[in-house]
Amino acid sequence: MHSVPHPRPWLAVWLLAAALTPAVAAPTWPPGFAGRTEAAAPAIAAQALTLDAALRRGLVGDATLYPLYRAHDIAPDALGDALARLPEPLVLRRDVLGASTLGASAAFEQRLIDAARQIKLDWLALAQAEHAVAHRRAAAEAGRAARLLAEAQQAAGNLSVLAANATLRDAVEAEEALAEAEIALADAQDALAARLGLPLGAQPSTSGLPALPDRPDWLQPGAIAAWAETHDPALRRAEHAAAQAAGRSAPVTPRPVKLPLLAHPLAGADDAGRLSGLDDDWLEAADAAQASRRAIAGAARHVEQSWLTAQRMQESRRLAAQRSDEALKHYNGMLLGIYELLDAKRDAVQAEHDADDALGRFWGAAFQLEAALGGELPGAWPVTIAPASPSANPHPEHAR
Amino acid sequence: MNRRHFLAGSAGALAGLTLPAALATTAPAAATLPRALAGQTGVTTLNGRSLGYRMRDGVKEFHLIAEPVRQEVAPGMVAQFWGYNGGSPGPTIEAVEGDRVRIFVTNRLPEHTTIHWHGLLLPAGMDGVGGLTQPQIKPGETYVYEFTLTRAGTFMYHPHADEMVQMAQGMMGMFIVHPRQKGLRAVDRDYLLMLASYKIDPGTLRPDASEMLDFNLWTFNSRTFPAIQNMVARTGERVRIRVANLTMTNHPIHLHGVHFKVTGTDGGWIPAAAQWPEVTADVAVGQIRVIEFIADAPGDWAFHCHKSHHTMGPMGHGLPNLLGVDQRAATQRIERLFPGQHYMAMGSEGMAEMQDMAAMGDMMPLPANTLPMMTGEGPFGPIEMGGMFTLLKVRDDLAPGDYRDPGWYRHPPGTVAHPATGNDFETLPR
Ligand SMILES: [Cu+2]
Repeated sequence: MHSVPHPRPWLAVWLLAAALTPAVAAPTWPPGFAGRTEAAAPAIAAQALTLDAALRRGLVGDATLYPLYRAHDIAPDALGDALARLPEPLVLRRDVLGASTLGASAAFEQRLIDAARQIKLDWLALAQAEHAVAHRRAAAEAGRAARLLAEAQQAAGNLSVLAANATLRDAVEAEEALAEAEIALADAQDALAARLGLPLGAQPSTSGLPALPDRPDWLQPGAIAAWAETHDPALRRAEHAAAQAAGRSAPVTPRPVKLPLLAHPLAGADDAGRLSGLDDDWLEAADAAQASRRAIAGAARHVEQSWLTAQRMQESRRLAAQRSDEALKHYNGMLLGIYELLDAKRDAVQAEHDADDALGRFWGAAFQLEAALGGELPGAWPVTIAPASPSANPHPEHAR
Repeated sequence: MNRRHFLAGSAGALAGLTLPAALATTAPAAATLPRALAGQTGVTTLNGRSLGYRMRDGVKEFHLIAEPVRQEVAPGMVAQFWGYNGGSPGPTIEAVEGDRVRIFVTNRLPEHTTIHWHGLLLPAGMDGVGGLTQPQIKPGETYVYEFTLTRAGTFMYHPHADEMVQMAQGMMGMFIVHPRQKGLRAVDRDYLLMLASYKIDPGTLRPDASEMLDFNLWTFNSRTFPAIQNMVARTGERVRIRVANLTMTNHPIHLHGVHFKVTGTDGGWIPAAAQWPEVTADVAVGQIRVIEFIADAPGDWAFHCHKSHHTMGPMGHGLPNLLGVDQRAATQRIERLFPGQHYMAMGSEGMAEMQDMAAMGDMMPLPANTLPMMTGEGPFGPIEMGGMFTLLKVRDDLAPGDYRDPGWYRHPPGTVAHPATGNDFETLPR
């Protein structure tokens, strides 16, 4: 991003741009607060966004964060400048939030953690929707090919209406699945555009689903829970509050309980009962710490399980591709008919879809865990080189 | 892309393509020369041999070993059979009417077996029916059979223990008993072959014993064209062909270029008065038909089963009928679905293009270890066969006893069909 020396030339540029491109919404944020952020929106919308680029943009473009930023004297333009100086990948906790200051900033911190998670999930939803469209398009293409063949067979007097019926119907259903995927893609584009503060009608795109990383050492629920005990800010905050409350609390001497409870007069809330010395903060903090641990444990389990699922689905995709390749060899030898070959191809496409779906669910679980841990994971994901999905790159063989 | 465009665009690639030797020329010559017995011409087992023996105390002793056998069906495909003495079918047993034979049978299979001597008249206890006439021969055991050959004729041997599995795996052989009387039923060439069918899925090695009807390999002596040995004869020679059927269906065996007579079965010789001329002899399941003829016309004559799918290599059943179907619009889309791979529309104009497909090798790969549906190159182009097909080559200049392949027949000028030109055939009545 380039700095703008003072507002007047910016205004001139903006007026000119507004006159030339009436479709682009006029900036509504004043220069110096989020004016440049807004002006950069069309350029952002025009590129295939990586996850990192989406996060950087979302932290400054998400207008629902602006009241928060105003309250804490953070201008999105200035935040954008600061973020632009950081190397990839941006880690919210390490790079943006920093070490937790206990107590006062908790609400602010949680708000940004939630926002970052939502930006990532919206980006992920779009990446998945893009893959789904590619898969459904290939399936529809196979359906059209089968339909054209069946119609040509009918025209030649080789196929009855009854025998052709299933093929024609499959083709219609494949078209419908494609149409649904295209609607879902448009919705995902809208959702990410809103999240990133892009103009209405922007059709953002992603750089595609990241590949499944190798399994890191830290990806075990036990290891993650242990890491959280010393690193998770929410957990530490809750423990700290509990410790302080414990210090404030007087010793308590419970009285015997008589059952059933309602058969006896209950002590009123205002009565200074024997347990009134137990601090409210203590009760809440103890509960919050347990809830946080439970959330971390659940999120860690989901990441581990979804990693295993994604790995199995990749194996399933490899086998389905092998079936399609072998089916083609059998077709070459007239050992298999063309409809069976197309079925094998559709099966391979569906397996790609399922594998990418599982991959998306894994990344979604990872983003949830990252948020549950306060904006960072216990370690990095090992780098994998392989592309997530062959279908995202429709003709990989030609590149050889 | 269709096949023609592919061929046109791939001329350079095809020029560098070398065909396997057996496709380019003709089938292998005789493995062993026939051995005369009692003054009779010995038999020639196509792609096979006769079993050696020794004499002991006036008895001819043979040794059959039942064992797994890995053997080529045709170039490009190897099968894991069960057979005898290293082959499927096993070696042919040849003896003479009146001989006393003693046959040792060693079992090197993973399960028990027996041998039944199909058509031979012998003591019931030598008939080889497991459980009925003898205990089964367990793995590792050797049994001995001993009997006297009371009649000349053409017979078989095969297991009568877990028969469905063992015959489906290729266990069979022939047993020839020559007449004792010198010159009786004498012929100049005496060929024999067993009809066997297998279901070996493309990409596999072992015959599927659970298949009852839908076989994909139709073989003479467990080989398919073009790996089946040719038969040869000198013009004017008397030729006998003995055909035994251990498949699960009948085979109308057809020979071009001669009129033959069925002179015998596995039940014995047919009196001359009961023989009639034929060009096709149907050989039913578990039957032998012996045909004889004078090879009176030189040429390369086809000898094959007349069920046309039995002269094909493996092909899918229930394929969509695409004859006469305009596949162009669909093909454009299908090609996009297989980027970087070669997809070709097939079947619109017939299936003869399968021969080209087979020749395209690397570009149009087949599954591992299987055979093309049709193959074989003749002097005028693709022969488009596979399965139960071989040739009888009759030549004027072949020396007696010479079994070598004489190459392709050289037709006298003016005796080959050719494109019609310069004749007003269009005006002929229709
Ligand atoms: Cu046949």
